[in-house]
Amino acid sequence: MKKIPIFLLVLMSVFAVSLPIDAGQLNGRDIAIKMDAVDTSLDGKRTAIMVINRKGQKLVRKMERYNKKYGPDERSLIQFIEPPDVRGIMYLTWSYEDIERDDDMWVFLPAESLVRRISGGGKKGSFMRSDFANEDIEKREVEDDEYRLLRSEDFSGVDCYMVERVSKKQKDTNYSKRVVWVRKDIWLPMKVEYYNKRGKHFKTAIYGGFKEIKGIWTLTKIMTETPRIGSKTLMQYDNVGYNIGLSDALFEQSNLKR
Amino acid sequence: MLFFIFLPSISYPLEKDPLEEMDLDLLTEDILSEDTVKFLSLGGYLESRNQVRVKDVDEPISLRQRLWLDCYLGQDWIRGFASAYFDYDPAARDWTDDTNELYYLELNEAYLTIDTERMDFIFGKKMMRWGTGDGINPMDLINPRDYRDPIASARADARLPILLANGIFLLGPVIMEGVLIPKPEVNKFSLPNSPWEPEGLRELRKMAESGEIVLAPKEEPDDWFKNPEFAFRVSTVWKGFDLALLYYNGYTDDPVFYRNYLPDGRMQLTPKYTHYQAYGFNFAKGFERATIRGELAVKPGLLFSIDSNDPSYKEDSDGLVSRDLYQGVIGIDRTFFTNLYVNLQFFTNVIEDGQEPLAARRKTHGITFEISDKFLDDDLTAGFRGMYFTSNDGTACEIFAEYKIGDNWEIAPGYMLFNGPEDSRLGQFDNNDMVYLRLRYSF
Repeated sequence: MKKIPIFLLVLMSVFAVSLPIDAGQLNGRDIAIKMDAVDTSLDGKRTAIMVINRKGQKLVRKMERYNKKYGPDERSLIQFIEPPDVRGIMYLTWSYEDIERDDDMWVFLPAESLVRRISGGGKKGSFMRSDFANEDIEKREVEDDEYRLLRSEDFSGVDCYMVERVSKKQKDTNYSKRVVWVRKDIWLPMKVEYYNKRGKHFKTAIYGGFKEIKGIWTLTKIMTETPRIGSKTLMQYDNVGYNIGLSDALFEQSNLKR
Repeated sequence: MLFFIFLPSISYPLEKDPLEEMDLDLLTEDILSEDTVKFLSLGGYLESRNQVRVKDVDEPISLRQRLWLDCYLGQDWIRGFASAYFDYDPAARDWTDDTNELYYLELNEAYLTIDTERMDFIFGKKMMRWGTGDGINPMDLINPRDYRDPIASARADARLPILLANGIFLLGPVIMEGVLIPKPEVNKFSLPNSPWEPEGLRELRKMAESGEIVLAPKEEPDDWFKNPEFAFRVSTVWKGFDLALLYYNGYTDDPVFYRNYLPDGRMQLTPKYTHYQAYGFNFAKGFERATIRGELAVKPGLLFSIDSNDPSYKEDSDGLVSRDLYQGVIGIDRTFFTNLYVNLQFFTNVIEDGQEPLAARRKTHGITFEISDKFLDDDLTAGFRGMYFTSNDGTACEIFAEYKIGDNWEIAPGYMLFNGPEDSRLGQFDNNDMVYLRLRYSF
């Protein structure tokens, strides 16, 4: 194998630093894979507090979320604590890496003690009347999107990759594309711009509260704002725990009860 | 090259947090300091629900004012839940002098849950609805109908919790569930002249009052542990399908009327709740934006009244004949666009054919439906739902709206109408066409 002259390596290094996209070997998909690999936990729990400010009206939602990984697949359980009219409602989701396979989803309605299968048809709808759509809350698999690395850019003093994500299933999303600012140091998002089907930027999410918990970098705050309707939503995660040994039984239909 | 990839992580500290400096004005100390899961939590609602007849505004169906309280106690493996309500309904004065209907206090649910990893047990008074369909569930046989307020919506009935013991066992991918009901609870008769008194019962009561017939007291299977009911369900998820086999062994919720003749020649009718068994199969499956649901049930040897106008009707018999009943439901619901929800379901009941013609229709069938959407940034849900018997047993339709104000208030106006032949299942309530308004404050 031919050796590369040292001066050439130095020249390459200089160009690599000054190119619009550094580390030119990475593409958008590579970055998505790195983002996907941040959470190395086997299971986890967290409390989510969501405060919605809509034209001066404040709405508060609280929920507990548990999740457990089964290889590339994942099961999650969300239990609502506030507001009073949804207290005790639970959502159980079995999501699959294979994008051709539909998620299995159930809702538990405590007033009727009824477990009911639901479909992902409401993904485009608002999550609990917030600025988040249901599709924003669920985990996106790497294979869900097509990627394009746009450039490197600072956001709030942090060096980020700007990656454009376009859903492969356009009929199931509100968005023509998402542009994501990804921290180069810990591979977590700092900002997402959402573009509607006419290609217009209409919603922005900003991420913060980055903490290392049990060796896993975790974001604990998301602020989403939709200027057109004068609304913004803050989601804050508390009591975050990883690798706590959650039982498989927690993610079965039999656990959907009061 | 790895050197260049990781260079930025050295250059920029993690303390850079875009949300740290933002004036959020959203999360206040009181919100953050509240515990999310409490050992004891209390909640409930205050509600004013008023149903006014369209055809006779002076005789409202219900002016129910309700205080509902619920209490959740415990954490982890042992928990308790109880709910109770107090109703005041001045509309009851129009049809009864019974003050218990004017002021009504009821312990709704009260049960204890023991929750272990593979086995769960629940004891107490509880609601337990089984089925995958919407509103029509042939194997939903545990809870009796709410005789005071039987209509939950134009396509669903309202039920009452009962005392039961429930065991749930997780065996790999299979969930086995058993329910024991030590004292059977059946559908109570609506009170005389109440808005939801069925036409047939009203006629029988009139005939009994005039002395034409004798209506004997009901014979209910109400002995503790002597007439227990029990039910089993075995369910699993297989390739995205929810599959369940169900079995029920108990008493019919509605009575059959045994006939005999008194020495003075008058006919006596005795309402009896008969023992029977039911076998069922349920399934449900999600497909992208849609869910299909289906239920099948077989109820062998149920008793039905013989048509007294038919020549084969014999006066020396009890007027009843045993037949098998087959029931089926198949439906689909789908979300279009963002929130446009469409639900359509077909159902059929077929009574086994036989020599004697029955008083009841041998085949009944129909559809249930709902179309709804969300408006005003999801504060308002509005739509149209109902049930239509294609076998000429009537129609119930409802235009409904639910408007949320903040997290605590909800206003729900609507219009519900009943149509069909006077003696049909839904047409008999034609006089109850109503506009309603529900105002609820949840806490």
